[in-house]
Amino acid sequence: MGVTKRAHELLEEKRNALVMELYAVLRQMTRLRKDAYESLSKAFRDLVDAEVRLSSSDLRSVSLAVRPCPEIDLKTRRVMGIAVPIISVKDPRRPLSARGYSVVGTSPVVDQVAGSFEDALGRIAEWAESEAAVRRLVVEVEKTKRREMALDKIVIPRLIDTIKYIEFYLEEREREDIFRLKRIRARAEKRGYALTP
Amino acid sequence: MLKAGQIQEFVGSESFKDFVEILSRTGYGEYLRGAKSYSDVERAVNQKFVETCQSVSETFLRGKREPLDAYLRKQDIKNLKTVVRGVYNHLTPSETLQMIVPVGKLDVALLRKAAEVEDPKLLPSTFRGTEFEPLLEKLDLEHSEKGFLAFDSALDGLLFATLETGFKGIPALERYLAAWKDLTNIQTTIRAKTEGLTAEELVGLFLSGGSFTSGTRIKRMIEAEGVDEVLNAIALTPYSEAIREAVKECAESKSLTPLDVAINKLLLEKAKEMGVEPVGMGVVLSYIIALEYEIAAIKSIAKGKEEGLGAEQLAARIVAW
Repeated sequence: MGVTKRAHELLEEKRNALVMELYAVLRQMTRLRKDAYESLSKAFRDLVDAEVRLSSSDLRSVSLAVRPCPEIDLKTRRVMGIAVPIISVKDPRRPLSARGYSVVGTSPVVDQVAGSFEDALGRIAEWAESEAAVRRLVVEVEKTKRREMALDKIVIPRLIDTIKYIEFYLEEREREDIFRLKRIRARAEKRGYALTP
Repeated sequence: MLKAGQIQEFVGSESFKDFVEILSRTGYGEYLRGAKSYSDVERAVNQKFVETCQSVSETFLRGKREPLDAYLRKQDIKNLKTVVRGVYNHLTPSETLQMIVPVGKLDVALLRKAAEVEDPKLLPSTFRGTEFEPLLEKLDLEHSEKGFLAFDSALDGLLFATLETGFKGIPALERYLAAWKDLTNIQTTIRAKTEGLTAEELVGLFLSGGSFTSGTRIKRMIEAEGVDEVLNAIALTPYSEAIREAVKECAESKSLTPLDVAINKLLLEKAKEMGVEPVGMGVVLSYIIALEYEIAAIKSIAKGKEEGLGAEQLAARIVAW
């Protein structure tokens, strides 16, 4: 019972720590989501601007020359024993010469829109990383809470019942033993035997 | 050609539908039947441009259209770039062909054949016998870290070489080409400095020729530490004031659109100067360029109206005759 209660306390402490961590990551995620939304909305504004300045077909043609997005690295780190992903984009902001299109034959608005989407990509990766951490933490909090509840509502009451039953059974047996002993003593006295106490 | 008032009317139109209705009352009307979206308008005005270029090229110039052919090579190169990119990106032929404007010497059938190619390695043989074949042979995206950059730059170089040959001996056209090169170099330098390109990288992008004959000015532009130094390097040139103003606007609006608009306005001014001489190729080319800008303005307005941009925002993004 002592071990179970200690386990319950530990789970409660773990849950509290996880919730605190979750709130910290949530605050960070809210900020990163706002940044990502802002950078994406700027990127789309720049896209509309570019489509207005060039034609949609010309812009689409240039976009086909742009090299695929930079490498995205996926690693994991451990937060309170939970594996959370690290999503990092390798140099999201590429130099003009690495984007893949020619400078002479294009307009500066293309640089603007390409740069904005590169910035947005970096922000989205940061947001995705924190959102993934939030999801993992939420799952872990739920798991810890379920375990804690299981201990609190099932295991501990069951253990208490078992202890009560064993105590009752032992008391019953003790009473029976006393009764049995009294009867043996009475019978022995009746037959003239002296029993040592 | 449309009048300035008509462009103003387009800009001030209530909605996209309203704009199409007003545009339908002009010479573009016959191409616009049933136009409901931006892409319908784009297709219609492109068709008008193709037909006008064909009629100008065939009817008026007969055997003396070398400068015009050289100018229209610009569209050939644009189409070639689009087709090659489409093939490398596995676009369907119809998706690719939607983006091309068939003006110039490259036959539509050849462009269609190229767009239908499934393996990019077959592209050089599709353009066998043209000046594009050796450039396509060299195009190797698998081993290139800069994608289409080298290929596109080679094509840009080819365009300016063609223009130089085509415009040779006609002073008005030579002046226009020089201004075009100057403004392209200024724009490239500002873009390079904004994006942090090194002087070595910038040298490779610089177009030779132009009216900047002073080696010191070019050196200062290339080696400039930032955009302000580029502006100082181009001081006392005819473009200085407009570019300086545009750069200031760019910084205020955090957008490069004002620079793009200013460069194009300056280029259009130069095209106007080309048309001052009453006879000769200058007038024809200046008409074609004016039409190009007019069509670009119509596309801008159509897109702007579709996206719900206000009249003021649209006016700041338009360059028209």
